[in-house]
Amino acid sequence: MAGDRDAFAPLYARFKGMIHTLAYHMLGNRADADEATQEIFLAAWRALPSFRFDARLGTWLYRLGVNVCLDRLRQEGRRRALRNGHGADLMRAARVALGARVEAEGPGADVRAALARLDPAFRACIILRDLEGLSYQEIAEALELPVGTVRSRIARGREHLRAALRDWEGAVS
Amino acid sequence: MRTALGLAHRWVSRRLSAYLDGELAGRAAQWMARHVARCAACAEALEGLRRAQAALRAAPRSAPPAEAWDRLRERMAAPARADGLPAPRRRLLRHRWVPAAAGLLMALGAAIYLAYDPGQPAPQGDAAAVAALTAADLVQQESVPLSPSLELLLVASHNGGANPREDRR
Repeated sequence: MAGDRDAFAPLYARFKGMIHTLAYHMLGNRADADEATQEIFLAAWRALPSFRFDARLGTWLYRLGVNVCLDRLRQEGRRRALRNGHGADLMRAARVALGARVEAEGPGADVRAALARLDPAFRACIILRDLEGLSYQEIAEALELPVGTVRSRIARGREHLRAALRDWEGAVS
Repeated sequence: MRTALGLAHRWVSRRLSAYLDGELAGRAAQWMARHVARCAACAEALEGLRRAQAALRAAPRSAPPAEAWDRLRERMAAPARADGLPAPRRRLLRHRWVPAAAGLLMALGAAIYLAYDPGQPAPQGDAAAVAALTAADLVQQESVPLSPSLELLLVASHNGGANPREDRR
């Protein structure tokens, strides 16, 4: 109903920035982030009847958001692998595709490039921690993972970022 | 002694990231602070992680274009055909397996009826294949989305569903 859709507007207004930022850094470019944000909110709209009120709304949206982004990356990897005539490592293909498409605009492009080369599962944890400011416990709830796994992924992901930035700083100095 | 130091170094290096995030507490955090103060390699690694984190935090925020809401609103309207259905039907549709199971039974019944001929051997091909395909199609269909109770949801979002990042600020 139109009334329900209008009532959805404040929810969209409140969370659109954080969801778009998540999608942008997961997918690496604005056009995909725009489309993924639409998908995420559409999925949220359709899944609202199954929303459990024991979960925080923000955490639930992050979960939807990460799942939509991972699905898009898998599909992109699959398409690319098919085009290339081999399908051995779909996620690796997705990472290569993403790394090639990162927009090199404005400050922080080097960080985004390093972030884009991370495994998407690690990338999601890093984004939720460092860009969205969630605690390890909140990330664990959002991604339905044990806290230990979140801690490990953040540590390993950051280690890759640290090495990449060190190389980049060495190259520009 | 060398082994003990090596173990300590390994323990610390695996937890530097959590330490940076303030996720270590009590004695573990104190022990970590002491080690980092003495160990140049761990101090350098911690500083590198801190720089990486700072660079990431400085990355730009993004937002959807202004016209995105209108587009989303249109897409939200598209599948809302079941909103006017009477309540008992809506409750049945909420269980997605109900229409699929009903369709499956009807398709199987029709296939058996059409295929059965006491004077002929049971057909092995078309009728059974059609029944199986029909059933598969029905199972793949999604039931029509139902209108959500947004008032409850928005109350929840104001009370407990806040954006964690905004809460912290």
